[in-house]
Amino acid sequence: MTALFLLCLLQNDFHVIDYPDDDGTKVIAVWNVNEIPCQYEVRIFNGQGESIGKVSFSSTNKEYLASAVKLPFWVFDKNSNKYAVALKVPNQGKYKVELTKNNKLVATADGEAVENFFDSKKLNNLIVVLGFLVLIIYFAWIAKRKELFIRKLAGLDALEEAIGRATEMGKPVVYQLGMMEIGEDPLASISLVASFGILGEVAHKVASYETPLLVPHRSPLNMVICQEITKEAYTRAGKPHLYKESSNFFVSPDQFAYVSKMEGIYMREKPATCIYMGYFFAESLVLAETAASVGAIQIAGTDALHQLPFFFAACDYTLIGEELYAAGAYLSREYSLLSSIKIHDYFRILVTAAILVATISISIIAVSDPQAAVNAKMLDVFKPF
Amino acid sequence: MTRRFIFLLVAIVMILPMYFQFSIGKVHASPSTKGYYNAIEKIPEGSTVLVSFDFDPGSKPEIEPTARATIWHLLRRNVKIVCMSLWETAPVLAVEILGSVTKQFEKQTGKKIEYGKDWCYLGFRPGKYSVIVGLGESIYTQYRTDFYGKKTDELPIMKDIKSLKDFPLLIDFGAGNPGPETWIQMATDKFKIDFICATTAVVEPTYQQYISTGQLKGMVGAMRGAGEYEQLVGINDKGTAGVNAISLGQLLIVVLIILGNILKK
Amino acid sequence: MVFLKRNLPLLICFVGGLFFALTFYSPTKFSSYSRDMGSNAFNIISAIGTFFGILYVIVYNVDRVRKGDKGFGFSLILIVALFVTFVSALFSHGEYLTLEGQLSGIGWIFMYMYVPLQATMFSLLGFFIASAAYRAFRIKNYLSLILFLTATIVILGRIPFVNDLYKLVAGQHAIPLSEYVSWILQNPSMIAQRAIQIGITLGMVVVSIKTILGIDKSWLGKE
Repeated sequence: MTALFLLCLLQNDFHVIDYPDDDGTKVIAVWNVNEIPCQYEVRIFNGQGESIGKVSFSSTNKEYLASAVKLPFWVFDKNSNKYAVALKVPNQGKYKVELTKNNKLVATADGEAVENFFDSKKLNNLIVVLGFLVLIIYFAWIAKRKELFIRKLAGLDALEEAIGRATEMGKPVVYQLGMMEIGEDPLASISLVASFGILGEVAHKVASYETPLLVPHRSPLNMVICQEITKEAYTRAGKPHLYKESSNFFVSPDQFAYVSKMEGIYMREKPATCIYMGYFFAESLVLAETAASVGAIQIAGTDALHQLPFFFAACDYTLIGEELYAAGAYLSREYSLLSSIKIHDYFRILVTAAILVATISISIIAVSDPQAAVNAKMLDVFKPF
Repeated sequence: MTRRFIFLLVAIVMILPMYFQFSIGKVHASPSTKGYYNAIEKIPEGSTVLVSFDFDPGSKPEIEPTARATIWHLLRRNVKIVCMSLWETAPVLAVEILGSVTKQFEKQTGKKIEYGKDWCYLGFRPGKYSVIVGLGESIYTQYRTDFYGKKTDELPIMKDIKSLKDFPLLIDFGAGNPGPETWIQMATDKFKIDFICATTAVVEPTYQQYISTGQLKGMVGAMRGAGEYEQLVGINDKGTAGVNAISLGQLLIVVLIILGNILKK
Repeated sequence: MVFLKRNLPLLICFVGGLFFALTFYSPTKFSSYSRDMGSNAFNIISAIGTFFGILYVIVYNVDRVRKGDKGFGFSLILIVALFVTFVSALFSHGEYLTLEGQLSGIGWIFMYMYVPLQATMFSLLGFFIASAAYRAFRIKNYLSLILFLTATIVILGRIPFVNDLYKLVAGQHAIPLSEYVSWILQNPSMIAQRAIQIGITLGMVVVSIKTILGIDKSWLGKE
């Protein structure tokens, strides 16, 4: 009778698996949910039998249910009738795990922690990126064969006029790339890469009109890159003799030291045209208002959301967010670059459609069962892991 | 000429309320400021929070009043404070704020506040994103010593702290990048830590999205928010004085827009 | 020369970009080590860049003083300030505070010169917002009128005596004005911001892929 009772207590379904998609530093202990409330403790031992960690919890604690594990459904079976306890281990290898229920040992199991090469949690991300890749290559190929329609961007169409005005007035054109250094911030660097492309086109036009160009920098690295871009643009325009190394100059890595120098330049040189393309911070309005006070035409483009209202208020033309990325392609009219604008538009349509479908489906589920909507597997597809 | 006259008006409107310290009505706390206050009120006594000073001298006037009131609030609630910085310009400002608030608190309450036991300042580490990722693994790989060169793992306040996961609340006094957005992206979502921040007026509207998603439990926006928060904490400092000046300044802007439309049509 | 100026950078960009993109999909310790190394390498390049940047500033300004260019006095001030700050930092061993907790030489310069100067420059923003409001906010059509009215609610809704006045008019039990302000910030304003943000993020992906694949070579200048 006692033996039978003990057999009932044993947790035969207890097993240990490698934590999916990690660097070999975790294992998961999994077993079926017990309806009778009790206290669990999971202990892990290394190959030498030394204890290296433990987790204690009450069976009513929902944090240890398999459904609460932060893994997508295509990687881990998020069954709400099972417990799943992740245990940290120092490195890859075999480990022994013990499960105690109300301080009585009920099961033991061996498991192995393995370093995974591919992170299948990020499969959703990879599929989207591959989709991008295929479309980019396809549209680059299409763009070679037929002209793509690109809507007009008033700010960029005005560039010619703005540079022409500077030429007539004999005043310089000032081009600023924002406050980021290349590579300083992975995301903000993108606007800098876009800005390099626009600078190439602006410098080409400025060289054609033989107008002075000033490109101040807060980063020496940006300055070196822009010197090359400007030089090549002047050569392309057939005016290499007009290129001045000093048209690109380093000011200061400090935000407001940079601003004070620029205000001085604005007041002394009174530029006819000021172009701001890149990621800006609080200096945007100070720069733009000072330039407005000396009568400069101003064209801005930024992906810094918090600075858009300031540029809108103070500048004549403003490129919003992603228009900045399209500007280089728009000005250069190169087929391979123009195709990217098209791809961007198609992706926007796809993303909007995905948001709509997901929102409507989840809302429909939520009407009948709010908890089911929270746990819906579909949501995993949209989550970053 | 008009421009200079406007500048003069702004100066008058801003200086007068601060100089004469007059009030233009009772300050009403916004929901995000209340959220910030409640998040601190919710922490159990004796627990340890992480505070990151991520601002520079330029944004100091906007963030400092909240920083002072927050440190005061935490000390009053008997919460231990571990501080750090992701901005190289922040350490001197942080040390000045922490030093003066703890001294003032000791003087007013008579309670002894000890460095290393009740609070500590780990200093600045370069690397932005990688520092936060590293803190998620272990505090001690990023900060072997504190700002004063003492071994971090020997500080009594760090006894039960291994990584970011051991803090029930993270507070960021952040003026930009790296700042609140960086903490949300790299840490607080991942480790499920409650997160609140104090920030500048320029970026405050952008961070509202994190309030609505619950990623930010509360936010104090610039000097105005500082004034609201000071009222909730029950102190009367730079924030409260600033609210009146800023309110009048904003009223002036509405008047200027209207005037601009009438006079320059 | 063309190989060094164009082909090699493009190759480095392609191999480096692809490698770091792949490390994102690989959870191995090698991946995280590589990313750390990449970040450290950038910090080193950036530090060297800053050194040359400062050198450039010194050479440029010394040259101006030597030639007696217009406004060379400012260059002289810059050189003296740079020298004094550098020497102070050297004597303070790069520490802002002494062991007794007092400000060191460089700490004093930071606290009593750098901080007020920075705050002054930042405070200019307040003045420029006012002048921009007067100069640029034109109510030309019904859309700009809606914008103006919304902005007015947000601004006035945060002013203490306006709130008191509102309560007097609307009654004590009316929804507080601050709730309307929060609603505007968290709904209409947020919808627009998120839409722009999604566009920006997609744009970033496109620019990144184009750059890695070498479709966009504009960062190298044109051939």
